[in-house]
Amino acid sequence: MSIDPVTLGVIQNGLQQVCNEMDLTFTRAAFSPVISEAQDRSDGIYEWEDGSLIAQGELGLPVFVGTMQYSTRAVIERAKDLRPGDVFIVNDPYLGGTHLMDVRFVKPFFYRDEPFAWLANTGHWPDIGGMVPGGFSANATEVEQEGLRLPPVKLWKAGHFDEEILSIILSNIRIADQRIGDIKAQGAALAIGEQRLTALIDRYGQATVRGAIRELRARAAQQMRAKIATIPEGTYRGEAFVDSDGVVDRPLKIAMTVTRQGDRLAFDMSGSSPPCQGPMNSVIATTRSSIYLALKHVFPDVPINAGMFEPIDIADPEGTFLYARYPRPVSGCAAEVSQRIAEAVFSALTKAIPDRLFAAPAGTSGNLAIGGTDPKRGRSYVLYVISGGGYGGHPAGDGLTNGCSTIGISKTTPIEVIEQHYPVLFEEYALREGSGGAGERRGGFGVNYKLRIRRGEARASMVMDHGRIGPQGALGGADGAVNQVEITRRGEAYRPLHKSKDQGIVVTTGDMIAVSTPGGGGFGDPLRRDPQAVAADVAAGYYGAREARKLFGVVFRPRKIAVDDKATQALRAKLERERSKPKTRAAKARPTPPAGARFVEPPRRLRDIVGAPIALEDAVRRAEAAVAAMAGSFPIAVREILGDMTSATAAVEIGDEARLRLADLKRLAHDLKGLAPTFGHVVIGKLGAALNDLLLRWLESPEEGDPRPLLPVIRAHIDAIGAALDRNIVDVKSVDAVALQLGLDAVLVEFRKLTTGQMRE
Amino acid sequence: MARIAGIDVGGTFTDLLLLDTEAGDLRLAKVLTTTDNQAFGVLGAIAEADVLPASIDTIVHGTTTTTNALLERKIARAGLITTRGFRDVLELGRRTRPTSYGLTGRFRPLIERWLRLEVDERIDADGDVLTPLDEKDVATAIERLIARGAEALVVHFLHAYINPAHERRAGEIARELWPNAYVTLGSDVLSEYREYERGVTAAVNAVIQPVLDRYIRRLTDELAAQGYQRDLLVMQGNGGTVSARIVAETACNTVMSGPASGVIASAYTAVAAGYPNVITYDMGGTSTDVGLIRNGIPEVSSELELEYAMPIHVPMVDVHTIGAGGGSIAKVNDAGLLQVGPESAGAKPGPICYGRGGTRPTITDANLALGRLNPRGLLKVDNPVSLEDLRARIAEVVGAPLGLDADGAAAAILRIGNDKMAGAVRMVSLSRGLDPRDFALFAFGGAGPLHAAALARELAIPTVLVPARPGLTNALGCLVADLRHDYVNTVNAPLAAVDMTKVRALFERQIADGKALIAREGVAIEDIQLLHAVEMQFQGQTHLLKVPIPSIDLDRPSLQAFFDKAYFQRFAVALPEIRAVLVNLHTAVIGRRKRIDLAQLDDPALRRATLDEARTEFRRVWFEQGGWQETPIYRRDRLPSGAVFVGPAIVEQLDSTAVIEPGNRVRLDQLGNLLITVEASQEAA
Repeated sequence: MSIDPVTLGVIQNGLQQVCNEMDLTFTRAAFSPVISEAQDRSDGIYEWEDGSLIAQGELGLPVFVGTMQYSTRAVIERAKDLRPGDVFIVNDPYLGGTHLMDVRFVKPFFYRDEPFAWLANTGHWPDIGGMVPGGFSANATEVEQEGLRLPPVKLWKAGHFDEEILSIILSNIRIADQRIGDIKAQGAALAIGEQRLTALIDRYGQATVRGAIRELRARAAQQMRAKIATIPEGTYRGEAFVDSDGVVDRPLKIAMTVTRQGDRLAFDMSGSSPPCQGPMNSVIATTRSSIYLALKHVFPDVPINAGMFEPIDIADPEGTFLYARYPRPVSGCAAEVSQRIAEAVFSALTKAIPDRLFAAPAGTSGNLAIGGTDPKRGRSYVLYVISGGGYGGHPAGDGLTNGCSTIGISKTTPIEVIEQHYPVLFEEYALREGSGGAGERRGGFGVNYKLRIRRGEARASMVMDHGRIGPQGALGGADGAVNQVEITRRGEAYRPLHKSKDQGIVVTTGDMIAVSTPGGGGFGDPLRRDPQAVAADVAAGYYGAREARKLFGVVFRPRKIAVDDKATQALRAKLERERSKPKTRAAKARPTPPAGARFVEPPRRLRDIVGAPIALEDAVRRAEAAVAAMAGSFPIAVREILGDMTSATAAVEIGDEARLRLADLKRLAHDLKGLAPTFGHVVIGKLGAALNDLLLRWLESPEEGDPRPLLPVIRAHIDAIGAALDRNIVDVKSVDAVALQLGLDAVLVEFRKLTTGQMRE
Repeated sequence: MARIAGIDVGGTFTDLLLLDTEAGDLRLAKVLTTTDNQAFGVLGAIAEADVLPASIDTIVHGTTTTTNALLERKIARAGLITTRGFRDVLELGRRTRPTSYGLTGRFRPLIERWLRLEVDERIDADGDVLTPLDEKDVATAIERLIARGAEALVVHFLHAYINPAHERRAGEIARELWPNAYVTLGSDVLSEYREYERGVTAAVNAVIQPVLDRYIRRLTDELAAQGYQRDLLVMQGNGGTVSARIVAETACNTVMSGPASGVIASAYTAVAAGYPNVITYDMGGTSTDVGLIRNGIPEVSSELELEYAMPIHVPMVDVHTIGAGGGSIAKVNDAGLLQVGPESAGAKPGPICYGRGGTRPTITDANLALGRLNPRGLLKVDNPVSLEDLRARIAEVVGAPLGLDADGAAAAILRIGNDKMAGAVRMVSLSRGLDPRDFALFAFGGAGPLHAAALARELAIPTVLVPARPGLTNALGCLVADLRHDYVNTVNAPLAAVDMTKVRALFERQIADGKALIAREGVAIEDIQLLHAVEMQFQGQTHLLKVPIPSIDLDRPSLQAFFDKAYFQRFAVALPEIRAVLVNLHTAVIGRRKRIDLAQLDDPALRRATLDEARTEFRRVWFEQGGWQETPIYRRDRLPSGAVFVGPAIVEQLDSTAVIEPGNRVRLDQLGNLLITVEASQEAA
């Protein structure tokens, strides 16, 4: 049947209102602040047949965009003998869940005894058992350490509460006595949803509501397709890095390829890092939701229902840490990895529709937990300090300072409240000067806070991120500042093992924890920032005058914050010349690409030379010109690389952050692999490729092996590359080239003997 | 107190109600608001009412000066002195963004960073001094801020709500050095924890204090020049008034006083009409304000956020603003669905019917197209648009994409607009744990009575009340408002550990402060009324529940019982195993002014004997129930006393139009209120 557009609009509002009322009931009745205050929950209505999303509450935590489709589907696949009044409980991450703390209630909804839809909600429980209170272990290596895992089971059977299942749950979690309040609130929200949805169907009739649901889904899909059509056809790549998994100090890469073809948008994450040992694996529901959330941040006016997801294809990222399988630990996926996935999407889309995007936001929840005992009050406590950071600059303005995480909407707890409840004293809570990435529109600023332990002993743990690489700048804007943590214990400074993640650091009276949260990425070329805006920034103390000069090329009159226009112009011209040195005439002009043109972001080394972004039409010609101009400097570049490789090798030998150094070596080898053939040095390219592959296999091997057997192999490669450059060996089939290869083979044979079984071939 | 004038300055009009309580004589005036200096409009309204200022006994004034100054950032330059390490509290906020989705937004602190200075001092959460106040630091900072051109000063230290000693000492130093009286101490404005909210509230006070002071001086001077020497009272956001002599001291209390006076007038009127529980529904041109009145008392909240990240945490009448008004624009989005608002046509270009170049259909246009508003009104504008053109435009912009004719399109705009407002009203009541069906709907503002019956039907609210002067409700609020001062102090201790003698002492101090202030104001009052409440929570929670208490004669068990009862009422959960915490103490000291008789708002001379005589015409009007119908149009002031009739009907008056839907039963009560009994649509739950 066809439904008039007005009724359709009214039913859309009606469905939305059912969900909003569920959100409201849940929050208002919930006991835990994490639900009642931080809004870490979500409610929705799902299709009877396959769990597709019909409507979702607007007050829910953003990270849950579309997630409950997967857990509802898992319930549908396993459910038997459904009756009105049944309510399933489930939190299994591998059955459409997120992390264990997110517990879902899923209820079949019957209208006049006919199955109609599912109602589901999810709430973040403050504890679900496991090795640390709260569930965020920085270094769990299997899901069993993270807490109690519940497959879909009926907690209410035809309206009767199952006290036995409840007793199993309560026996396995901390602060169990307070949980019953939350459980009832979560159930009450679904009961309200049932009443309100029944009233809606009573009013408009079953056929009309069903028809409207179908039609609304089609309309949302149509709206999403209209948004997709504004993206120029093509393939766009973006990437983002998680600092480490908390166990192995090595970055995890998210490689995101976004392809707009016709009216569909495809996302491919192959090439991302393999599954990790620590808890930074992401389950597929979180991975998908993170992409949906990123799109919702870019196109906020598309309603959230299954139609929004229809024109979106997400390839299962098999074999990567973004598709975690049992028993990989996953507690960090919802809070951290999700945000990095969103950033990878932003970074790809910036190249497609820069006018609609923004540079990366701070993107970490900045979770610091301090657990200890307050001798004065004679009780133990767990204090969570969650922090914000700067948002990225965007075409219409600078980034916001101290924004909430990408996935959250909760407010920070006032210092006056924290100090009332916990034996800590804040000594500083300040805007982190200089942290916003420079850009035509600069990033917002992060926060510096310092807190001192006033009484007793405690242990500090943290799960933060962006400690290695700051939030990415866009279109020539600089990255935001990285997250930093420094703990002063009895006067001695200590930095967390994995920069942003650590667990169980013992602190005592007088010790200080200082955290600096990331700034947002800059958007556009900093040399184009309005000098008056830079002056205002300097007057506010956001940047020093010297920084303004260096970052933005703005010169002030002596002893004043008044822009010296002439000197500024001259300096900016000079900086621009230096930036593009050496370069040809072709590369000199950097006109603003016309609106609607397509941009490419050249690889880093090329970007330094030709600048970025460049219009696609122009890119090839300019790149060729740049390459021609660089031919003379190729040997210099290779020598530089070889020098870097030699020092990295030495560092590996003495065991100074060996893994990180090996990762550096791999990157350098990879650079050679790409760079050399461009200049005709195919042999060097092949040598670089061989070394790259070898190191890659070693780095991806699950066991932490002794890296020293690698050293002769690396050195042999460095020598061979040096020889090829000195003697200009370019032909792979030449005698010289074959001789080099034979020499290397001998070293490799030795190496394999030493490492049999240690490496995955 | 024979002649009392309520003068309310609104966005477009300045309204005056002048009541001679002895002679029962009422005068009304409506003049255009003079934006740059509202005083001209105020004097203009007095002149328009044809009355000599010298002959008025009391003037009560509602002004938007401070609200506008904040929203338009036409504020004074203020400086801040704060605890070392914390000058950025005012800029970092509470780690938020403006909307859940979308990662952009704008925020400007009220006090720029270069005007925020730090001094050595620190007090902890127990009120103990950790670092003594460095008085030399304070003096230096003051000199620097004066040199930087700050006109007002804020002193805001951590934990000053529990121990204000450092703030007070710094204030003393400042008062010696500062060139004017604009010195605000955070703990004076708000003695409540949460450093961002208290700091911003203090900053708000400081940046509008000079603005308000100048305005009030100018107004009193002008009034004095015309011979008016008596009390000038100013409306506050808490729904009470304050003497102009001291209003600038706590300038932040005047923010949002307009919506507050509307709610106060509603409470006064609704109680007199026998409806102590109402939802107020004030629909204007760009937005709609919704408030709640229970047992005759407007809900008061201290959680106002005037705009993104601008909390003003002094007690104010709790008014929820919805982005839908007569000027809300209707459009069909790229999903092919009709949307109404939040975009508004504003005053310029305004709705199509204003004839000021507007081309996008609005709710007001839809009301005209369906005959609900008098089409003769169209002719009164400068460049009249014909009804045909208006209907054609609605058909083109909204009808064509939806496959509807002009009637259908206009009806769709109303339906979607009403649906949106009803949803918002429902959420406002539900979020307070209340069911809208237990209330009457009190409709005012220019457009409230146009939509109230439809909203009530949608929400299953049984009764709509349209007051005698719906377009002058805010001015009426000025007439009836009492003097009122609110006090909040933070205790924040588990109930079991609270020293109840200390609690009593704090309450008594609040009462004494309030009474002293009222005495300073020197305004004639009949008696003093006290309202007390506590804010409590269960240990571990972060949200607070406000619990009214009947008196300060309290012991712990009775406090526990009040809290348990209120908690159960709101959340339907009892938690006997968890400890309750007493957080804040709240007292409102109310100086009650002489009551006025609402029947005096009515002019019996105009009343006619029969309904037929009150009817001006029949007009075709479109209703959701049955489409176009030949409908009687009544003039409100001619309706016979005690008139009873059944819809459909339209009741017109100068400042508003009420739509009576088919089947609605209407009665005119002795106070001149229209009481509309609405048949809940069968389907509504």
